[in-house]
Amino acid sequence: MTYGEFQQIAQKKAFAPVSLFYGEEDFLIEEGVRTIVESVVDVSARGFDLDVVDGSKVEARDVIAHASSFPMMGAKRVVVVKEFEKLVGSETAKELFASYLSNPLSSTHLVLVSSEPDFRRKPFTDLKKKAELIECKPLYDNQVPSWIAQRVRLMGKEAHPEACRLLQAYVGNSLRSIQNELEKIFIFIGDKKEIMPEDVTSVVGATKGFTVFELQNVVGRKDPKESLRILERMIVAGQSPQMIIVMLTRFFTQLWKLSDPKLRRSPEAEIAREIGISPYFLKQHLAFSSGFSVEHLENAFKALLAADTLLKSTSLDPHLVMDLLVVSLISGTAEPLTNRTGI
Amino acid sequence: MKFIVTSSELQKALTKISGVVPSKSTLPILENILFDLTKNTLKLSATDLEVSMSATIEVKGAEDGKIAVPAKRLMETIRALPDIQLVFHADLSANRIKMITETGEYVLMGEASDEFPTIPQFKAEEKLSLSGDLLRRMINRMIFAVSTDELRPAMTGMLLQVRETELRAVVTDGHRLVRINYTGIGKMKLKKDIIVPAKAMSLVSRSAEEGENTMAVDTTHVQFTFGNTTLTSRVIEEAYPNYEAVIPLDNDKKLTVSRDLLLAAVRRVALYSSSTTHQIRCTLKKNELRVSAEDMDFGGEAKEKVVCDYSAEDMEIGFNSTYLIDILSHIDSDEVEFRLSSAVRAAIVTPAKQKPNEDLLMLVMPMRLNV
Repeated sequence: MTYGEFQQIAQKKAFAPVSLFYGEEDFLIEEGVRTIVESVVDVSARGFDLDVVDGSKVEARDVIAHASSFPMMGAKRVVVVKEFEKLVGSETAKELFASYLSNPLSSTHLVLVSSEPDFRRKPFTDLKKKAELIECKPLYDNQVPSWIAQRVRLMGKEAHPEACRLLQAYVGNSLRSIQNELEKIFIFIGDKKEIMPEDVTSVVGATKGFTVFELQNVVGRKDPKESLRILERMIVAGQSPQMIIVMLTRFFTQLWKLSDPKLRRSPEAEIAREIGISPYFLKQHLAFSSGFSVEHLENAFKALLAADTLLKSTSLDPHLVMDLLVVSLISGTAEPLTNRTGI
Repeated sequence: MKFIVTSSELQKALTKISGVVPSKSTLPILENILFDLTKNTLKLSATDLEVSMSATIEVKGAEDGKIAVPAKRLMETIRALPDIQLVFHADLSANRIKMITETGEYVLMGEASDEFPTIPQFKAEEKLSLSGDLLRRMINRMIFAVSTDELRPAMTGMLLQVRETELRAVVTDGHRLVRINYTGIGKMKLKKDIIVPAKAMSLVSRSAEEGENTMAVDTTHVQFTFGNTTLTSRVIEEAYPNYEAVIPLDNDKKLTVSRDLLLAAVRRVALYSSSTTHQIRCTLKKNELRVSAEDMDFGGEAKEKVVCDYSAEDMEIGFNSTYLIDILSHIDSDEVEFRLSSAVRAAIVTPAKQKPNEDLLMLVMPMRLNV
């Protein structure tokens, strides 16, 4: 079942005795679990009728004992098991859950959360047959604006479609970050009924700044989409393209130094000192370095030089120059920029 | 710093407060006991930052001073000594401690007293006098049912409700609940609800002395004083769940049974219960209670009949045998009374005859049968 289908069930409060939430979007998982808890167990009864346990810290038999107990105060008991996959490593634990699943207690909602379910193995094979499975996967790009609009509606206001798109552009697809920004926007707009694009720019544009280090990390990971998004935010926030070029040149110089096999054989502290970074970041830089060939690095320097020249000697839109630069740095071809300068 | 003390006196005082010392702590200074000598009075203090205890003893003081002494090594040394006089000498500039007996000399390194956390200063709003017997009895009856779930901090403590003429204590772990009311302990000005951590209440039970002890409360701490010993604990600043709503008032099926007979039967039958669920089945018929268990995994089963007084309709109810044994073990009357409603509702267990001025009630949730 998708999260959307779960929301329809949630409206009717028709939850299954056993549910498994899984997937990468932990914001939806948390919200789904909260929905069940809030729908089923009254606030005053939560001290008695709600058990929240961590699969890495409890025994399977304790979870089954909780689930097999009748509610003490209200009509239902909810037992939430986080990191469920860590609870069911042993054969005994698998058998216990199989036994409980074959006859779950109707007054209990057993809510399991797993980030890594393996549906080829027990107890997940049993859960597939006997529990409600709710997959919480990250939303696609085109789904995020409508999710924002829906979220704003749930929070009691409306959002202009352009405001939704702008918020996505600023924050990305992380639902948790979007929710955090929405809460700020709500405080900012006060009694206004609709969120307008300028509200998003005023609140998110001002507060959610990126640094060149975040940019260099996504460039190092060769993630063009995220790189362009962060670059866009930095330029909109007024950061100087020349300064970004200086910092990216420094970053590629570090990668260039790391391509020296002799240096790579040195002790870690020495490598870190040589390239001028904290030893804490060395592992990350080494990982970045292995993704860039010498030829790629040479082209990166050409592109950085070309971009710097274009910014200083032409009237080309700096935004365009920087976009081309980031694309060149990631793809390893300097032509998009050098063709314009003749370098 | 220098004084002379008998090893037995020192051991007695150390034993009282050593329960507070954490065996392992991220703050190593907490593994020490603070010695503070003023003239002939030696004050010993220990803390884990939540609970602190101090005890004073009379010694022959020669030179005042303060030093933190490693608790474990000190306790082991004092325990190994016969009842003799010893000279305790501390060089405060080097934190070097020397204990001299007639035949030996023991040197250990301490810590500077200013490293030791300050014991909270206590401004009592009101004080309440309680007998040591009452405190011990109250705590020992109920401490077993305190929750250990750190996600529900309120339930990891004991709720004490002090009213004009009544002291009420409540603990629950979400599966069991114990409530004791004491009346007739004099008129008190104090009217307060506090949640005291279970560790502090266990220490109170161990330290309470014959005769009068006092309990004092301020906004964030509670302090118990037993003779020359003081225990100060932070209170748990959380709202306690509405336990009164959990106690059913309409359980109309009454079962009266010998506590010893039932406890023995449950203990024997529980040996054959599933090691996972510890479930036992109680089958009730007119004047007959049958306790049975089966272990599906190993194919064993057991049943016992216990004579009882029961005249309501037949019923079957399942319990976790561990919970039932805990409850029966902590009631000290000859007969116990169960008040039941159905196989899915909480059962109330009380002594058939309450002690004077005491009203003890225990509640246990049944389990689903055949799991």
